[in-house]
Amino acid sequence: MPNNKQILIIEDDLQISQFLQSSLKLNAYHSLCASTIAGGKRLFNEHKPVLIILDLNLPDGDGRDFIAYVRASSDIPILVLSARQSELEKVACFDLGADDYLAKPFGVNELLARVKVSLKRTAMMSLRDDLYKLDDLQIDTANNSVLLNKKTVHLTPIEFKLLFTLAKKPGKVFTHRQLLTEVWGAEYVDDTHYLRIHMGRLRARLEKNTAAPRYILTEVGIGYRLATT
Amino acid sequence: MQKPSLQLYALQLLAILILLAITTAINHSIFSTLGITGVTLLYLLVVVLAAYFCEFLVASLTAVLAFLAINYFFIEPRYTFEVAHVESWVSLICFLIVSIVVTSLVKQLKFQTLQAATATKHAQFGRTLAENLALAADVDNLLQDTCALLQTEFDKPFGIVQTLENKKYAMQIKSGAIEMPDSSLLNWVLENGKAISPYTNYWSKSAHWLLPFNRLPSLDSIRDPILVVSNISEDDSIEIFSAIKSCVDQISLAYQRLINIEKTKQAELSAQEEAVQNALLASISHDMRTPLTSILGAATTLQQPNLDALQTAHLSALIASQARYLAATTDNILSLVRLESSAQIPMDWQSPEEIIGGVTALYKNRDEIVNFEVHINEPELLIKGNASLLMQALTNLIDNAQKANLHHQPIEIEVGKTDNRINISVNDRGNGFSENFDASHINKFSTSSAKGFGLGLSIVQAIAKSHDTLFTIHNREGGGVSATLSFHAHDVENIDAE
Repeated sequence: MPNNKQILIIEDDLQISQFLQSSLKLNAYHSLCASTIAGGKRLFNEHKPVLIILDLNLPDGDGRDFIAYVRASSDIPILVLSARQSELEKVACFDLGADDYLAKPFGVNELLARVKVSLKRTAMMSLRDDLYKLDDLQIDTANNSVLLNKKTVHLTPIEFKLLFTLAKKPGKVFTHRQLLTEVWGAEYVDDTHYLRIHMGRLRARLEKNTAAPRYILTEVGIGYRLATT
Repeated sequence: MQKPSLQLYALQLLAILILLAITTAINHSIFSTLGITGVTLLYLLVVVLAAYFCEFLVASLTAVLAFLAINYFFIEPRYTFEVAHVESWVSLICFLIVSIVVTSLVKQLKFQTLQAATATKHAQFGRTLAENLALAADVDNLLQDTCALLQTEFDKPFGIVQTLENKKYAMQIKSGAIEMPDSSLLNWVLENGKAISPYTNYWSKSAHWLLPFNRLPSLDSIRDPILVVSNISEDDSIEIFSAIKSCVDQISLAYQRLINIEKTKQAELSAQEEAVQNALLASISHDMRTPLTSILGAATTLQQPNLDALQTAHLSALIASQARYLAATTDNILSLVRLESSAQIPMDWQSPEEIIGGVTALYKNRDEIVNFEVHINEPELLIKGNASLLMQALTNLIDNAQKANLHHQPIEIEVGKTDNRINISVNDRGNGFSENFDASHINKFSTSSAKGFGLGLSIVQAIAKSHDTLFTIHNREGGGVSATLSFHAHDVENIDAE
């Protein structure tokens, strides 16, 4: 099993941990398991996994502390699993640097799809992080160009900034706060209506069906991400 | 009634002396024309004026001075106090008696007039107080209004001391500038159920009058309010104290009535909550057994040997479907609990298009095939709401539409704006509701379907209520139901493309 497919699972519930391991193994991923934050830190430092699946409620602390710990030294994808449903909890995880969030209960297919997306993003970034290409859409952040069906799409400066921010890390969820800070500035973090309107206009230029978007996906109540598959 | 001051006496006396001097001068100059009868009548007029406008003492003095003036200036021998004729004595004594009688009668008349005016004022105050007490709907308003009313009537600052949970005193309700009395006084009043004032012989030197709402010694757990009256002066009579005490008794009755109403309401609410909780528990324990039985049955069947791939796939799909149903139901119950317990739900600008996108993606992720038709009739519409709750509401409406959609027609989701409202509708082509159906009478845990807790529409209704939104359901022409959430269209500032 190649080392670059090692996935670290930090989950204190034995049954969930077991079915996660089985599912990952069936899909050719090698998994490492820890049931505490301390164990997770040890395995993270020793094995340098390619992705972390993290539960939030752990016996020795809150999983969010582990996100902050990892983000201090690494950019590897972190997929959070939690029974906590509150939007504020989710946003807090994304603001700390989590890449994705899956609420319990979840289906294995959905989990595997999210794992795949996160790993693909890492792979894309390692190839060339200034070029995004999916179906008919191509975003070249180095040359400031956006092509749809090989034709240049004319965007306003704010739409460019929004799209390029998302294109920096395709597949990663950017919270409303992160996007507002990045595009408008920190003083605009509460003006979510700016974001909704401009995102609606951007989608109108890029998407065939704005109610079922292909490229710019909504994480309702949290933020947006650029599709990778 | 206030006692007149010495200054007032002096002023009145001066005015009377001037009036008597003028009258004497006039009488003296035209005595030959007026005669003794005219002179006497003019002096009597002065006595009547003094009786009407001055204090009784001054009026009586006026009568005596007038008597002496007539004797000295106009009775023979003139300019002496001697009286020459018997008829003159009779006239003088008659004048004195008439003067004193008139003065006394006027004094009595003035007193009765004053009493009548005071009685009218008290009656008017009593009526206003009684109306206030009868109409008061809550304790705070009752205390605040009556405090203000007492201040207007008695021209003194009033305050109401209440006992806080930590057994400390607070005077949040007051009318006029009034200081908090010493806590030892308040303790004594509550412990003994007695008032403090000079007329009760308790703490007679206190700067305040303290009157307890409850005339019985208070238990530690029940500590009723105390009325505090300030600006006490020596002139404040026992009548004023008794009047205020009688007001406190009336206020106390109204206060107890409101407290009892509140307690009754609280008890009814608790009983209702308990009934709802019991119904919820009964529903959960009954209805959750069905999907759990399916899951247990399918799982134990999967443990059997010799199952073919098709059977295995079928049983796995059954477990997954029942588990999803249980998860959705748990979400619904949690939402309902959150909605009913949460004081404030975080709201933000939301795009209906994004919410609908989120819901359609949810069904796609669940591998459920739902045929949607989305119509966004106006772009760039924004509503104020909570994304998760709005998604929950739409999901419940779509689930209902799907259950009713026996002919597998597309479920239409429509967003539009009419007048000042943004409407999100979920339309199906099912059998529709009966004609008597009323969306405002949706009850928790009541369902027309054999499966389910009947929570779906209750939650939509609760979410609509929390968003100050109208929720309507009506049968469509051509069959089916249209369920609509109608949001107030808030003004969103114009946003430039740049």
